[in-house]
Amino acid sequence: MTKTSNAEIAIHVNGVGKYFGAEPNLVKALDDVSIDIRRNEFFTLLGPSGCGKTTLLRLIAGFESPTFGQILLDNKDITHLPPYHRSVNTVFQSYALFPHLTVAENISFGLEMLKKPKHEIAQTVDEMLALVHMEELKDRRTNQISGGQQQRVALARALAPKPDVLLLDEPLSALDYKLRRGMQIELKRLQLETGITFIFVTHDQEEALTMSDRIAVMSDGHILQVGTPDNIYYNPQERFVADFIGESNFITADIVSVSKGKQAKASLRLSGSRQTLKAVLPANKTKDKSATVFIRPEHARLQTSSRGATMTGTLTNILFFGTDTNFHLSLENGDSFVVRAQNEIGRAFNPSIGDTLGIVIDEQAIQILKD
Amino acid sequence: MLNRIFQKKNEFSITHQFGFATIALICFFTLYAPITILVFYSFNAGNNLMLWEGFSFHWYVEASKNELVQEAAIRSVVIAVCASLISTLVATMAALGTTRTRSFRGQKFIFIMINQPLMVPEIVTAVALLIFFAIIKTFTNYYGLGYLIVAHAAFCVPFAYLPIKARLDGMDLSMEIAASDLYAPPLVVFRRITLPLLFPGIMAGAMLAFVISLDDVIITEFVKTAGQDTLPTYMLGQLRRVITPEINAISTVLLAVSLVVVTVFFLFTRKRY
Repeated sequence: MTKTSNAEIAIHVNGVGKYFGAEPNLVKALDDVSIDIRRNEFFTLLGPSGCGKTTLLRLIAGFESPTFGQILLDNKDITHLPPYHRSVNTVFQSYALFPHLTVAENISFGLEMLKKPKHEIAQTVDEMLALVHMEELKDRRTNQISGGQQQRVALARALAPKPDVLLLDEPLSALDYKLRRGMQIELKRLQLETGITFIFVTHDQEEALTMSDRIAVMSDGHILQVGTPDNIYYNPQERFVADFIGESNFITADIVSVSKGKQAKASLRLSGSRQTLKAVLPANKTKDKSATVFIRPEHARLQTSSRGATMTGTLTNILFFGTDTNFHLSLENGDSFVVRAQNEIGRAFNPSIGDTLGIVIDEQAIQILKD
Repeated sequence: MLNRIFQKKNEFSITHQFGFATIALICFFTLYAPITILVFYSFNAGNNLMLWEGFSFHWYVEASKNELVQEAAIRSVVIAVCASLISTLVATMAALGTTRTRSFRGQKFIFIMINQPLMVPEIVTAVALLIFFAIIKTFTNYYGLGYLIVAHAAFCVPFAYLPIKARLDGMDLSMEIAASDLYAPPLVVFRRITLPLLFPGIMAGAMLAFVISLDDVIITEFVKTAGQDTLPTYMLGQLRRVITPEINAISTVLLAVSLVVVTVFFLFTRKRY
């Protein structure tokens, strides 16, 4: 990973923790979290509900104070600054639009609070209305517009004061699938056009992969891995990350032998079987005897014969997904394994349930997880 | 299919239970028949309370010409306006104090304290106030309307408090948080967001307090000094003398005023924003 200089970092989270309650019922919503979020970055906090991603967002926004640790915005300590003194705006999951104000009044609210001159406010509001395509509805009350429109007003309202950082708390979760896909593209466009740092919270891995420059995967109040979408997808360091993002196969295997050298390679044997695999061994793994091997379903191929195959398995189920088909197999050691194949017209390969098939996997696609 | 299910469900509806309609009718009859008769006889031309002698506005004209009625009516309105203003202000602060704070020890207790007038028998409060104000009167020599206003304001507080608190409970903090996120310091958040959103609740509380104050008899009767009759106590006094349909006419006007105010109250409680 490349070192980033301080000037490029918008938000610096340094050993931050947030505990709720007292000892017997102490909840560690966040525990010793550190990240650097770069300027102009679309950064996503991804994790299941209760992983602490929204808590981290609320700490950056200033709605809560951390139990310990430090948060810097442009190298200035903002840990205990109230929200109205931070150049950080939030798009709320519930939108939280002001129902007694019109669309335009909602958007101008932050600018008025910053005591901007009248003509500048009017100009910025017009710009924002144009940016989110809401010019015609500017005099409507916020309860007279649809959910997707409310979403765009919430975005415009948060963007209008031109904050250093924009926080987005699962803003698309209330929209239906089509609208959500449209808004994903819209959000990415807005981020590129405004050049503002976006910190986006979601539990939807697909959303995270399509929009983000970098993703932090969170679980249980910790950050497990930070990286680009393809880095997270192709090189998950831990089982949780591999499992949470995309579909994954996990096989338990014994380490038979380890080759010497800078990148130690291990020969693995499937537990309870004679089939062997080879993969790069992570640095901290040398002492263990067994390992969890991770393979993406689309990185494996099926063939009718076992010749030249990495492993063999018995076909137990076939699931059709339109673009792809998932073949569920049972391996010799009883582990289940899924192979995903893209559907083509006139494909000759048509196995039936109960067949024994060969599974071909490239060596680079086999990874040993740190656990 | 779906319709069938709902039809089935209707058979379990309470309205199909035996005797339900009868009981409901009896209840409504006892509630509204006397009022209907009262209103009806307020238009009686003759001076008998029970004997219909033709339609006329005679008693309305009589009542409006009666100086005692005029004074009592003005006094009633002055007291009700002042009492509802004071009690609504107090109730708004109390509602904010019991909802827009971190939960604290004794919150339930304070809630009960605020709603005390709903639970303590009014006659007890009346006697207590009589004695309490008697002491103050001997010290201050003040005998004005202030006592009545303070007494009314006190027992109106819970009536103003309940609709305001109900509205605050229904308003989550997200608007206020969003405003502070948009650079509004706490006082500005209160003025620009909390207060406008709460306004319908405050108006509803004021309306309710106004009506409650307007028709109070017991506490007024005990607290008032000579010549401080409100409309209800004036009417009570009249009962001891000759009863004419004038009292029907006054009652009908009071009823009309209450109906209007209560309607406004409902409009405010239903108003979303």
